[in-house]
Amino acid sequence: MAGLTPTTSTGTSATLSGSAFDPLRKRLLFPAWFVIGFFLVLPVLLMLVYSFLTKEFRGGVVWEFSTASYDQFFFDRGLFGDEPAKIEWTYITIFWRSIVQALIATVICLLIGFPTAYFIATRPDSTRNLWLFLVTVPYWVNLLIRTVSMKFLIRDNGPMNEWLMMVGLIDSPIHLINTNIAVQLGLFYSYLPFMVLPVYASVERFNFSLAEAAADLYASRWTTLRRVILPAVKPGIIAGCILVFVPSLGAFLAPDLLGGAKNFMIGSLIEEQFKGSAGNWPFGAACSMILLSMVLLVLMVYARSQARAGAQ
Amino acid sequence: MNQNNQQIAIDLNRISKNYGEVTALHNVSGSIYDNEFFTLLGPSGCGKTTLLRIIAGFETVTAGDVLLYGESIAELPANKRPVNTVFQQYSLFPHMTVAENVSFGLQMQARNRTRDRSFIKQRTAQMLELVQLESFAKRKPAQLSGGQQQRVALARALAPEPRVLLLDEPLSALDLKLRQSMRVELKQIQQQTGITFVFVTHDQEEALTMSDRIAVMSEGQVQQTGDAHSIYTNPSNLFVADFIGETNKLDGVLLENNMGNGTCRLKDGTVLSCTARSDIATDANGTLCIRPERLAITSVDDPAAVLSGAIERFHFLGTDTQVVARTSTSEELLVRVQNTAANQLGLQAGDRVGLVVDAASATFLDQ
Repeated sequence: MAGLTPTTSTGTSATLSGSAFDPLRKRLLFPAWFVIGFFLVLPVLLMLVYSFLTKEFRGGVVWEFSTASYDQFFFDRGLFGDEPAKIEWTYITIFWRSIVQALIATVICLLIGFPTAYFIATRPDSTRNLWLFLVTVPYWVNLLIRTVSMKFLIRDNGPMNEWLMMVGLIDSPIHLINTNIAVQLGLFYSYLPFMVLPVYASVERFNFSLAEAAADLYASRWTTLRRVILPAVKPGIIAGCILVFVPSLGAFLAPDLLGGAKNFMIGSLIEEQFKGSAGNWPFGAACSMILLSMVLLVLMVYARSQARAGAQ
Repeated sequence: MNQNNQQIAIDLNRISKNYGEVTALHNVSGSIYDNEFFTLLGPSGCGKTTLLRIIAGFETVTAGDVLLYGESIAELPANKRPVNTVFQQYSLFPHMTVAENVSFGLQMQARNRTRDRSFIKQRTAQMLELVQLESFAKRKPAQLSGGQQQRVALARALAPEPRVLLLDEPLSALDLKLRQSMRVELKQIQQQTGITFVFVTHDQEEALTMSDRIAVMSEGQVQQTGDAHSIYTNPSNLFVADFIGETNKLDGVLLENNMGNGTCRLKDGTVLSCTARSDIATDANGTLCIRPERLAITSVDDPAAVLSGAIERFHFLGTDTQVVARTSTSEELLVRVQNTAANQLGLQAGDRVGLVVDAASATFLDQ
């Protein structure tokens, strides 16, 4: 309904300026179509096509239709491929682990990011931008360098352990490298701003007189947060969760550098298929397509829930 | 009114509020009686909203105390005070329906008290009926007009049966017609429910028509408290005289003050009888205030005329005509004349006229 007014006004101006503008308008849209086509649609189509081709042993593909990659992902037919098909758990396990890791990372980012964003949004105007700047400062440094630095910081004889031992909090180093916790630390550190920024944007827009109204009507602080503030900032929270969950799911730097082989995630699996001569391009493409489908599914569920909320 | 026997609902005891260097309220004291429609009236920035927010518990006092039916509430958080607020912008919860908004306070109370579901449902329905919105229970606030949202805000604040209802300029966002009908309705609801209303407004007409008593505020202080009639006819200082209604202000000196009945001399030498607060000393410089409707136009040589002037222009205002005249010392005088058939003035700009005023309508103020 709200969209009707602007549409009408642009409609009027288009009529006024005449149809001579239309070919020009189409030409001006060309760069946008080019970017979407060349950088978005084409690569995905390419992946889709590659995932249905046959692998070449030294990397690359043979142009021959095959469903072998998807078959390899889901089914175990024995070493020579002649046994009755059983479900292949290796990759499903990797995917499952990735999903769980990404979910945990999202929850941690939310638990830390929401209070952070709330804190920043409730600061006076003059200091807000400084706080936002501080949150984003580390992200001017390359992700790889940050992840390697994290590895350096938390290794057994690294600064963190040395300091903790010096202070006397621990007697022996805490072993973090190559554990799930290290991966979580890496993911959390990589993606926290993606939670803080959208949540901040929605808390900042929140009309705090609603919180006063709730307090006026006998609601405790906790109830006010739960029943008045959270419903109002929900879009920001959902956006933040998607922005953290999606890249966490496909992340390969943090799991690779901090998690080791035991904590292998989808991102590393795909990366390996395209690296060096041991790779399998169609299989990597198939994994990517499966990952993409999962991400799209999550986004669709979100869009559906948004549409339902909007209809109310 | 026999207010000495009435119970005091809210007692404000020497309240001050500073924001850093800025003083929002300075030593404000006063009592609001039980079952009273009490209005805080003043221009924006006078501290009236701050005072309301202190009573509600959204602001803390820098000094002083607030008593609610004899008990100090200055330390109580907003959600523990048995007062509810109707906010200026309504502040309805946008994600809740009208019924959910109205029942919110009741649900919160239910956690501490024995209030069951059926009671909440019944009370919500009763409140929606009170504000005539029964058929809108399932709508969201965004689907309502401003006036309807206003009623929901009122129902929501009344539902938990507060001991005092605070209203922060609740009518300012409505258009004139709606504002006028809501005035009547608010007053009726106050009388029906018997709840003490504390109403904040900058609109003097609103204050005069609705209130049992009015506190006129300016610069963080209460200038005068009283019923509409006494504030209008006996302003205690120049600010009140100027802020409430229109007034003619003429500089002068008080020549004599005999227990409130005095005479004063204006700049042009005119001497006339007036009223003055008995504590104003003779020879005090001050201002003589006369309401435009208390001046009557007569011919220049009428012996009853105490003032004179030349007519400058006329403003036709429907029921009245405002005549603007200028005295010999070039002070402006406003005269209100009712547009009755008998009052065909037959005057023109430039005519010299005499003006009649009785002593009771001319008030001498020293500040």
